[in-house]
Amino acid sequence: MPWREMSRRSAFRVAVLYSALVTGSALVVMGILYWQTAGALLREVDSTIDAEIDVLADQYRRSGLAGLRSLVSQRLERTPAGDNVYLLQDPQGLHVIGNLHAWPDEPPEPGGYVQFGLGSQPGPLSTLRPGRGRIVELPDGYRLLVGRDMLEVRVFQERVLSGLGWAMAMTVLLALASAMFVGRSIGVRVARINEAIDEIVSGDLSRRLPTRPEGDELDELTDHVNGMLDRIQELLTSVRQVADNIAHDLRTPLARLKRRLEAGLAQSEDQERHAEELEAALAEADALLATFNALLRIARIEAERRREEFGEIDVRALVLDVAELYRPLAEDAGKRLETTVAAGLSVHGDRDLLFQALANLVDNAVKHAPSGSEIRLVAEPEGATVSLRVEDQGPGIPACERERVFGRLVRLDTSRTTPGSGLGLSLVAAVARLHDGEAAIEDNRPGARAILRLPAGAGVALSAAT
Amino acid sequence: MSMRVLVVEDDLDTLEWVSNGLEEAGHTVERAADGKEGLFQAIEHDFDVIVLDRMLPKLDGLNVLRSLRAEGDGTPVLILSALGEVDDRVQGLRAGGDDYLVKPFAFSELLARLEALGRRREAPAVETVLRAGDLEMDLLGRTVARGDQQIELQPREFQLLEVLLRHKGQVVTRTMLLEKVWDYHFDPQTNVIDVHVSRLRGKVDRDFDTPLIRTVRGAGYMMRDPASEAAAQGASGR
Repeated sequence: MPWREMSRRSAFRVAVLYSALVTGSALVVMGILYWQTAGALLREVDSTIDAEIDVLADQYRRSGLAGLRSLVSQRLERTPAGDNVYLLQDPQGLHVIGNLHAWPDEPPEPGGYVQFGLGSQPGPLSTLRPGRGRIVELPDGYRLLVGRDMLEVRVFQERVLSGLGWAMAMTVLLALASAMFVGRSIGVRVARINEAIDEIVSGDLSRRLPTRPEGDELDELTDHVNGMLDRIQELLTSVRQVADNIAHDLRTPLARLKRRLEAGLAQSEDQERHAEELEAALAEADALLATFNALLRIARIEAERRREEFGEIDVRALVLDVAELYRPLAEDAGKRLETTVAAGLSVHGDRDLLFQALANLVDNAVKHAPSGSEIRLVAEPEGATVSLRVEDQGPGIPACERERVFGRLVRLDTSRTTPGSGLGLSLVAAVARLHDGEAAIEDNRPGARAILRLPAGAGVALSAAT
Repeated sequence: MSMRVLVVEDDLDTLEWVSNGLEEAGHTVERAADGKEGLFQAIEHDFDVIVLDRMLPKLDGLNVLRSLRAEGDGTPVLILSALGEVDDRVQGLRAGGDDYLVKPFAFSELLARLEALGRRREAPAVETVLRAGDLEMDLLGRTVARGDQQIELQPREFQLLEVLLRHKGQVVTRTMLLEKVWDYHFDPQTNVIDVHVSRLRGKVDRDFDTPLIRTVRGAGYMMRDPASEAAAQGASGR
């Protein structure tokens, strides 16, 4: 993969970042380790030197220069080739006593310690054994150097450093390797998902991404993408269906309209027939217009999802209003309209849309219920929802059609001869969706039970009037 | 009753169709094809009612309305809203509109609503008794009588009769009745309103000589006003 493309990949960046973090952490850890080991050792040497200086200083105070000389001499005799280093010089710089052959050239470090070389011959520092000591200025111009042979310490330090260095290198390598491995494995999964989506979108929309049961974030993403594909397919199917239905259902009224107009033209001598045909044509045009208006209305409801004008709706008042409006129509058609409405229920929504939805359901019931039967409007709580129902005792809707019937311009074959645009239930479904609810048809045994289920609102105060 | 109407609409076909229709109905019409011209006309001249389209060039319809109201002009305004726009009655009415119609509409609907708006202006503020011919409705006592015969009405029937009486001599469409009597704005699929009116007729017209509630084909209903009909007949000398 070319560098530019690779450097943009999230997996690559994550790997680099991870390695950097691990390296940084490792450095910190190694630093602490070093400080605790080699560093501690050095500090110990220094304190040994200081302690020795204290002892010698004490001796000097009690017994003067002679005492100091004798103590140093004792020390040197005890361990002639030992780790301790002493050098006492007189004010002229002449060697008085000590096992260091020359005063160190190097200036002391800020801490007061000085590095110098040990060895039988004088020479550059690098060829001699390392030593470390401290200089004490005595009165009368005498100078005393107390130090330690540092070879072993240095060797130890180097070993620790080297060990830590290797450890660092291994850490960095392992970090990089594991980061790349992990990154790649995720990268591969993501790449697979991307490929699958490409294929689906450019070709077969009915395919779905393969899912695993593990349920990590990528699996969740996959599930969501599959959900989106389901919805897209649903919408596409619906659009196709509508286009088909429009072509089918609206062509007939348009054809009738055309025929009427043509007949009207042919009848131009007979004024009365002429007027009749034109009026009939006008009625057809009106019906068509009404259908289109209804279609547009539904589309607008679905597309806009405007909820700012929602209010708290008194369900009882709404249902009773619908019943009161439709009762005369029902009674004239020989059917009874009854209500069973619980009090205190409310939903959050659009009053006019809800009225329209209920009215459409009641309209359907009045059309299909047999003479002498009862149509019942029910409003009652159902868990956290409010269930609004129109129950009739008509022929009902066969179970296999109960979902399809909510599609646009769907008329069951049994109703093809009755007036209606096939959009009443579509509007009900659109209103239900807008209110985060659902619309369904169930068996009223006998008859149909049209249900609008909506999330319950906060409730309204019970009024005294029934 | 002839009104002076201002029609502000940028689609010339619609402008002509509406204006011609109104002129044929006997009203005087002034035309404007953009917002600025419309506002100018409305301020310069006095109109009984204004038809205002929402989408206008130069100055948006609702802004014309707001400017007009800010000037203290209370001329009734009927707002037209085109398809494909947010169907927002509430926004239109809040901006100062008095009524709202979505295109496409039936001309009879527009005419009925305009005449209702225009009438509102000249009617006296509070009436306690509404009359048409020998029909009398006492709003305070909630009683209705024709001649000397009391008529028993259900509450809804009373409201329905009241609306028809308030608009006597004018067409009231079914949508208008739904809004004014039932206070809902929706499209009935069936003639649900007709049944209510026919029941009202049964009580108010059937047993009497002159039917007062008239069906206007393709538009709605009208409460006849025998007094003004007689006056018109007298004036035209027929």
